[in-house]
Amino acid sequence: MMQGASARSGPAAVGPGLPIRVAVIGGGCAAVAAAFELTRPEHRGRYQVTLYQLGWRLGGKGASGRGPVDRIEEHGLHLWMGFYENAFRLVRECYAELARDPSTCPIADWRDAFAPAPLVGVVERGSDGRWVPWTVRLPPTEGLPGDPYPATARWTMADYAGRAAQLVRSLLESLRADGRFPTGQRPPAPGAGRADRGPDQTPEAVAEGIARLLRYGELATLTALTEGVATLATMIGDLSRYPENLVLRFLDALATNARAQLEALAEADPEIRRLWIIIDVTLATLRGIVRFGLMTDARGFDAIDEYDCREWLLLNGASRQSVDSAYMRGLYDLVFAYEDADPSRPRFAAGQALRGMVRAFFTYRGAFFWRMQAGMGDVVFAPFYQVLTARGVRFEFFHRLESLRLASAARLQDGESPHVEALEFDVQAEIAEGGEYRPLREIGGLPCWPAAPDYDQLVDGDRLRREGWEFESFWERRKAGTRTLRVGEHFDLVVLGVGLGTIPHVCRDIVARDPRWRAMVDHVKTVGTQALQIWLAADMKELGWAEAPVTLSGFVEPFDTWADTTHLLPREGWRQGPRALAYFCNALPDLDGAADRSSPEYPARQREQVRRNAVRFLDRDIVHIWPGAARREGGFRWELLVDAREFERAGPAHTGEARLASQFWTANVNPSDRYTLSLPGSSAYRISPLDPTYDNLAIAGDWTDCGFNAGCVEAAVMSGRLAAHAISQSPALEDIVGYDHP
Amino acid sequence: MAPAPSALVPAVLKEYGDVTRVALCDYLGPREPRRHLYSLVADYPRRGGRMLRPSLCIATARAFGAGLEDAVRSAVAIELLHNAFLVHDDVEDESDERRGRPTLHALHGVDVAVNVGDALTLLSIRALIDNRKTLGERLAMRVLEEAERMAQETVEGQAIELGWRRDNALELGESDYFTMILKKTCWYTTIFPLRVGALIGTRDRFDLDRFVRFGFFLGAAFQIQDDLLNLVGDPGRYGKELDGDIWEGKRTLMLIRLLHQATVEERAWLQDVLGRPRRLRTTEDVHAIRERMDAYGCIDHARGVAHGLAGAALHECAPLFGALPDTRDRRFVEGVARWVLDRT
Amino acid sequence: MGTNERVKRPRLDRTQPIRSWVNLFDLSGASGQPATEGGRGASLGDVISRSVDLGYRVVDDYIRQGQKAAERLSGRSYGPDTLGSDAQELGARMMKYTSDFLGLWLQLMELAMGGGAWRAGVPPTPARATPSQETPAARAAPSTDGRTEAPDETPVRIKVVSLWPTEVALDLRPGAARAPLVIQALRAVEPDVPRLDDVSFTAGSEGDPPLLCIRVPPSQPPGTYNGLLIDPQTSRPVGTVSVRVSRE
Repeated sequence: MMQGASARSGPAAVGPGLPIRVAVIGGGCAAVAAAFELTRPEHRGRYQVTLYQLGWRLGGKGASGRGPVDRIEEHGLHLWMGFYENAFRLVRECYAELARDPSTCPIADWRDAFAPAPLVGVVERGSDGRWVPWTVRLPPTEGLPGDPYPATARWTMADYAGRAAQLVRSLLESLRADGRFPTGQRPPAPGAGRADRGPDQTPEAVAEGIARLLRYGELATLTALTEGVATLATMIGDLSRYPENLVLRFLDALATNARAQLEALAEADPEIRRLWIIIDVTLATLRGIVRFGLMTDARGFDAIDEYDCREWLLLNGASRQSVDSAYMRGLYDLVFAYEDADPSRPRFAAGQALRGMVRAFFTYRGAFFWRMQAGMGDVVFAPFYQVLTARGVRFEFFHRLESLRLASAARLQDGESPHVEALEFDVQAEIAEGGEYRPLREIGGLPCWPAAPDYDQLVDGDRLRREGWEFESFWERRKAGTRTLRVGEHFDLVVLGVGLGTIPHVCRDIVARDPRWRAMVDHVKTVGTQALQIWLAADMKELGWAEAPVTLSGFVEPFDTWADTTHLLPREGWRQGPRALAYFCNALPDLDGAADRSSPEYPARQREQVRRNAVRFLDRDIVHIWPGAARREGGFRWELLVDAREFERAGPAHTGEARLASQFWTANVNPSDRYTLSLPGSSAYRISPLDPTYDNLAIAGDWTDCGFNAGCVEAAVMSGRLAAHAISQSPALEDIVGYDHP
Repeated sequence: MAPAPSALVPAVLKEYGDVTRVALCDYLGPREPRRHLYSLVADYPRRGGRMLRPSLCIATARAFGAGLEDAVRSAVAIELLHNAFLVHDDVEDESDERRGRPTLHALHGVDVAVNVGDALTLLSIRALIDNRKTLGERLAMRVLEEAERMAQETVEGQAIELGWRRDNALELGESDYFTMILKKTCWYTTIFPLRVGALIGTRDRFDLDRFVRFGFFLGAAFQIQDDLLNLVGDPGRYGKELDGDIWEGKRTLMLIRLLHQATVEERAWLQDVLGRPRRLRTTEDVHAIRERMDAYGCIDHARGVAHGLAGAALHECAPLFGALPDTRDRRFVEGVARWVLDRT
Repeated sequence: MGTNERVKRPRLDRTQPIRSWVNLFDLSGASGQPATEGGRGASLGDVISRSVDLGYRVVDDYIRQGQKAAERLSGRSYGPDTLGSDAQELGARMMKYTSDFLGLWLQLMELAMGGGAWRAGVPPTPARATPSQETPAARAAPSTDGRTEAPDETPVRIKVVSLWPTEVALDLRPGAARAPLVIQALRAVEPDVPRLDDVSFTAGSEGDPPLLCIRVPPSQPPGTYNGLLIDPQTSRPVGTVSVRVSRE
């Protein structure tokens, strides 16, 4: 077995206590990022990493497999955003190190793996009951995500506030330029409303001008309003120079006037209404930033995390229609921000929501969204698996952590910190001949993860296959054996990169003894999700979607988000058949018995629930945005669904609703598959990967206090890098893009 | 994370200071036919000084991998230029004392001082041109370009400050102060030495603009600390007369804050005092201004800002030097951010 | 297994993000606030953090505009052939900056502009005049007088009238001698020494080289006297004259 020494850069680190053995538990983005950092050539083999993963595939919530016809089967919809600097950087480095041969592998370079997806949108329901999509093609920006950051890049609250003001200004300008709008004849007041503060314009003079404006109510025209916002934008650079109540009054006046001029027209004109919604929300954000003193608060956006985002916007003057608009709803949908998956309880911590929005809109590089060109497992986790293996990381598949045991408090020596003493695993299956499990299968030149384990490599494989062991299920108790690892003997340090839902089950020791951990599992919550993938015999145009492939959110539950993933079809094994592919996802409410191991039928019940949801959705709801998918008498044209197995076997095809059985859907109800929420007030209970309490443990995951406290790939990667820093002081914290950030 | 007092920074300052002084003598030596002038020219540099600028230059160059010999001449040039500015500053400020002795113009008259300052500048340029022998034509040219940029910035900064005094400007904000300081002091005190050091050390492969922030914060903290010492420093060690800045009406951060905080009557009074020529200001005036500064906490404020800027300097230093091998030179540069506040 | 043998995580300097980076440095004594505590309200810490934030804004704006400044200064080629004169030109420009500033200051203080400006790096070529009594000694060999180091040659005549041994050094920018130039009185370093007023630089008439004429009165104290040659069209110095009067 290869030791973890890299031959590339100098002699291996050997000596007493070296190499340091690190047990990384989990195989999702966080764990993989940590392993990737700890085994960089610069460390010269100082850390010998072994990664423990249940089942047969890496990926955690990002795992994907290949089913019949090699179709891609995902946990859910994974969109990478253009501000995922850490995630992209690691992926790019991984591909560079992998150095695949483009003549044999269709995804050899990271740009083969990711493509820009600039068309995004939400769906709104008009007063006539029709659903109307509101799409926008966000312009490409300079550079690519993962590029090195220039020296002048620095994110401050004031910068974002300035950009927000500029955004409002440009929206107002576009309204003026549009011509649909009366611009008014009155010239702006002298002194105020100048786009650039001249060198002789001291803040006092500008403030005087603004006070004059306010006195004489001169913001009543769109022109004046635009100039007023321009003044605001320059003021933001120097806000401390102005008396706070003047700034607030100015903001109030701008908002009031904007509303007065636009809201009435917005009723009749949907274009104006959409712009007004964004302007309203942005002005309320600016007002809130000033009122809550966020510019100088050391906590940055965290200072308002007890509020729900919409609640906070309302507090700062946004109108209810704006806050309930499809725009805001779409935002919430993207992060499943519904407590207990209840669509009547949208809850998203305001601080993290704003942080996410400013990063998403103002710092994206290349494109706003980036789409993967195959399953996430194929595009991300297979390359990482290959690179990590080449670097000497050992992978122990079919190892499920059952318990993380702390050294008993009584036995701690003087001044010794609490620490992890043992790791207890269920060994779900053993590898035949004691070798290492080879998890990948090549499909179309691309190494992929299969949708089921390779039973031929497993001891008693036939029996396991026959008995249908569900290795990834929380309710599967069968195993081939157990294994206990002890500190000092088998490992030195631990990176715990499992999903949050698992923590109460596997960290009973810590949760019992440590009130902070208890509070964390009480307050940082997760939600189950449901996902549906359908392969369609007609293309999107025939189905009635005329625009380019889109990612659309804000639709109706049970599947409020739709992504057109037709581009994945060439990667699958279809010889003929589907012309379109669609992925849907949504939060999934729990039924009774969610986390209870004693109700093994729970996952099946939920799966059935999702199936019913899918039927209802396709029959009743999808037709609103795919008019061509409806039958004349109503309901879904089930014959549109393409059955993978129809190509493989003879026999009558299913008809009607039964055709759904051939599609793919999941109910993500395993505790570790549940999505991490950012509920108001929960951020304070998160624990950082850097937390030093346990001197041989670092946690990792999008549920930790990682600087970007939301459920997403970027947070997970950041947390993995932080865990690596906790272990090895590398990467430098300043190198973790977005960690030091308001 | 309290900073421990470090002996490293003073030790490196002394070492590189000595090296620079020795090399400086090459350019100051008695030489026909200008022997008379040269003895004057050598006066200020011979009076000592902290040698922060040349040390930053040498240390940065070495931290990036260059040798001492590569950087020395540029260090000499920086120090000569610094002294030229000191001579001219003293004339312009009408100061009486510099480094514990009377100023040059107090000793020999204004015209002489002006000529001496010019001569120091020229010698500095000659040192930079002589870089051609050690660094090669192209790199020497780049250093000269940097020097030109720095000279221009410094002069513009001086002009801004002078304009404030000439116009008796009272409507100044901290951002005005920072802008002026950035140009007048930071460029030649920190930004230029760092940039030239990196230029030499990497043979012009580094994006030098990355040093502007670090250099600005470092230089600003340094300058504010200097201004603080002018008010509260130990007269035996400081080298200029205390409260001298108030005498000159120099727009320091403390004065600007005082102008902000003052009542309407106080501002009118300040306008009057600051509007007079120096010789018409009295000791009572200066003490009264100083007292108002204390009353409004201007000193404490400036001290806090200097700390904050030093902290920002530390923060900006990490991405620049963090990836370099851990050498004494690198630790010196990183240590300077703390040292600028510890010195007296 | 003893605790000292067990591998532990390293101690970390920092375990929190910097959301407002001013609080990074330990403000011990300065503001009385611990390193990572934040707070709203007008505490000293807030005021200071505003100041430092301002500093960031100033330098960031400056950096953004700095490109333009750099562009102003760049834009010439640096091949080895141009290097010689370019270095000197740069040096002269640098000198000009400081001198210009001085001029401003001197104007303000209502003092006459003074000082000499040696051409950087090039020691002036002395031209000796033979002492004679009231006899103008014309040096009519343009090939050795006032010769600059620049590639093109600018012949200049120098006429010195002096009782004492006098050395004249003339530095002139290439091409400058074609126009009539203004020369100021030459001054010594010591302010109480009288100036050399009787100096002139006149253009030659058709084909003749220009003439630099210097008269040294008998009473002139020994010393070195310097002055600028100014191009009246641009009001800029284009050269310097240095005259050394000795006594033996």
